[in-house]
Amino acid sequence: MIEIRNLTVEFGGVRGLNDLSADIGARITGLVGPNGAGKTTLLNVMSGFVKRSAGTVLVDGEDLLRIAMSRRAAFGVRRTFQTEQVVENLTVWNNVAAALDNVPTGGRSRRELITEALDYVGMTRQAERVGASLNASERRLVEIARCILARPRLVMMDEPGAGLSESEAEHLRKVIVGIPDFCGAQVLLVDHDVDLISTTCLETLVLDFGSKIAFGPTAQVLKDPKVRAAYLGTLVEEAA
Amino acid sequence: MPDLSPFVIAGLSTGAVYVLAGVGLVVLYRASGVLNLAQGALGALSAMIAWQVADSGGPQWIGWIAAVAASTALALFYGGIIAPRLAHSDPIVRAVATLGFALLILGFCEFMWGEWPRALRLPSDNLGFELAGVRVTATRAIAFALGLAVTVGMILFLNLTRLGLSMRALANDREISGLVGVPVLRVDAWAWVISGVLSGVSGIFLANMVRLQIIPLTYMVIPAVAAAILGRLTSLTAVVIGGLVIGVLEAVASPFPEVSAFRSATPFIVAGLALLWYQRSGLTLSRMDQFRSVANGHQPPSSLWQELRVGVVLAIIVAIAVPYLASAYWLKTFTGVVIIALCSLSVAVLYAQLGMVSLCQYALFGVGGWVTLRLYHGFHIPFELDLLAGGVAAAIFGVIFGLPALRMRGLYFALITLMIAGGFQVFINAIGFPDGGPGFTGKIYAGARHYMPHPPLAPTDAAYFRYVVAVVAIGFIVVMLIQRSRAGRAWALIRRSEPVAVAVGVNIVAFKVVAFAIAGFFAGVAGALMAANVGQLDGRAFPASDSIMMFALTVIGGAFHWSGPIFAGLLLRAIPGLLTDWHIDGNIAIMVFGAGLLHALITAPAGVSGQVVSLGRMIGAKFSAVMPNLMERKL
Repeated sequence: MIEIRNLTVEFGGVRGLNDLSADIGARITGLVGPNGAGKTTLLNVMSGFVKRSAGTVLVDGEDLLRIAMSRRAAFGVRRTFQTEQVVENLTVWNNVAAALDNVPTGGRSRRELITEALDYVGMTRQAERVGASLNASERRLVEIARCILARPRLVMMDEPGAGLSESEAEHLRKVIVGIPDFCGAQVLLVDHDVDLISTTCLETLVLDFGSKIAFGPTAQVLKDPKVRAAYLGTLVEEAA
Repeated sequence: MPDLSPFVIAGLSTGAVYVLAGVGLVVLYRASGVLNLAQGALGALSAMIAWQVADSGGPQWIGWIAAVAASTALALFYGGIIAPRLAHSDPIVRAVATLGFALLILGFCEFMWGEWPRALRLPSDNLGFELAGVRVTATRAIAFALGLAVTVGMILFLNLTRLGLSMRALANDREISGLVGVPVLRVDAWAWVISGVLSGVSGIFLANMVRLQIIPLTYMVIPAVAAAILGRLTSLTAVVIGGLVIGVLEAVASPFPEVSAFRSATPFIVAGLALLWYQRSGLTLSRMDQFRSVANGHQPPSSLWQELRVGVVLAIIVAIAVPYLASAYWLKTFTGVVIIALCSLSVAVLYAQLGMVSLCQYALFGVGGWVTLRLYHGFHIPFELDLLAGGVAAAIFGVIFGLPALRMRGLYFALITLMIAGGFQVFINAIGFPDGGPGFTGKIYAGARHYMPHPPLAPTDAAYFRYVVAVVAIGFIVVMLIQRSRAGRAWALIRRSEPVAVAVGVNIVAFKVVAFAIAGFFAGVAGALMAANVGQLDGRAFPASDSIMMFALTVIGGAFHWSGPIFAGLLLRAIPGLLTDWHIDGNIAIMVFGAGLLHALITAPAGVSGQVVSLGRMIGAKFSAVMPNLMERKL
């Protein structure tokens, strides 16, 4: 359960997030909005890269923003970035091991945890390949494997579906949908792909200019005229 | 309490020249993104030309014009021809490249003029007036007025003129400025002209007011950089305050015998305090995208055991063969090569693993040597303990030195380490290395200096060579193992990007401290080994230029493969020996190394070792492609 309370972020005079409140309880929640709406800013506040001006974020009842940046992964908040962040000269295995170095294993063996995560995303056979040799989809999967090690609470993904082929996107979708069952974490998914959002997310939060304009069951939210005007309207026009 | 007013007045005028140089640095950095560390060298060249013209009997004013024209033309040459090749590199790489340029100019000046004490007189030296009971020469008054006038002029220029607006636009975003029609190259060229003129002018003033000597003038860039750091490389007003404060503090320390020997360390101390103050706001995450592509592209993961086998076999062959083949002189030299390779490894660890440019590893080498000599003469403890103590002491200093810049961008780390190299030069010159005397410094001022012998385990030169090879090989193996441990993985993530490292839970500060400690330790151990090789160390032999050379040669040798530091050791220790044998001026080597640094940064980031390794792989691939055919034919 993630409780966002009156969260405000200011960059100079500009409000990146404006008094945002939302109780995110669904297993997978979508986060959509036009460019500059504050989606990545919200993720960055949760990661600690951006300082809030006001408000709190509670994850499972604990005040997330009081936890030191580098301890949040161990606490259970994990994320991927808009641009992939695989280390080119480490193997897939070591890319994942590097993430496991910093989180408690809960008494299980490292080998077992890494094998399970790679197995889950379907990268077991690539374990000894180096990051530099991976394609876009494989890089995304390695990043997801890093996020789902050893009991995370929340996995945040920033546009994981960008630039994937149809079959790769299909595999990615299955991987995302299964994360809550695999490791028990909630998922917060930022993406522009309405299709991906509507088929994976039970609930969706829509931001525009840093404010919440709609929040609720995905199908219902996507029909909301305000949302269509702010965001989907342009997409529909483009599609037409 | 002595009367300080003459010192304050002298300090204000010297400080104003630091301001001139600092303003040049900041204007150029803002417009072009290049921190021109060659500014001092340009100033030195300018001063030497002015001296040369006057000395040959030419009119002084022609000398001044020629001097400033030369520094401007060279700055423009660098800005137009060399800097654009690095336009897309990380600011730190671009700053370090100017060190290559500085070495080129320095080598040229030393080759032409040598390090003789000279004086550059200006006609204004004979004019003057009384101020608060102190005689002030017109030169000092002009310097002071010029420093303030140039700053005010530059602020007005940046804010009121079209070119100034374009410069501020470039400072903000080069690409967008280009898109909206700012003539990027022309504006860039003007920034280099400003920097060239100011370095030329400040060089002439400093040569007159401080002293006309090439190396000290080259390092006059340090107080200018310190003033620029005070302005966070952007604020001209802060540069004025910084330059004047540094100038005055330096000068008022002169009448106090307790601190006067250390007064040249003022810029370092001021800049260090400024960095500490600036970093209180918290961690700045840097991305280092340019560096990453270089570092990762050149560190192909390879089998640890295979590399270790090759390295250990090589070390054993060298340890057995060299003492039989080399003369006594060359055996000492090769011992030096191996020791320097370990110091170079400490530079390589920081550069290749974290993209950090440390320009003070040779200073840490000195710290290790100092502690080892002190403990040997003071307590006669076993050499192996002494060696460890030297390493640990240097590690501690490495961490302390790294801390001020730890949370800031990589460029600041490079700058603070440059200040440390400069500061260390001052300190070690003043206190010297222990040679068996009494007291804390352990110096003998009258009488024969005591030597530290080789360790009992390796009493002869041949045995000591083998001893050194063994210790250094262990150092290399330890570093290779660490690279493949948790710390190595954390470094890889930090190199990829600091945000992703934080996101997966890496404590960036902690793992950087680990890197500083490791690098410091090995630099210190190398210093200890050197102390036992020579028997004593010379306090005058630790100029900041050697720390810069150490970095330059590590990049030239190749920081991304274990063989790189060995090449660096050979270049730094064996080449000068060869040149002496061949009766070639050693300053040629400085110029070649400067050009080599530029070449490595621009076109061969993996250095000599990268080229050798890829050649080896190519031959290996050809060989394995041919082998099956041969086998088949035999069958």
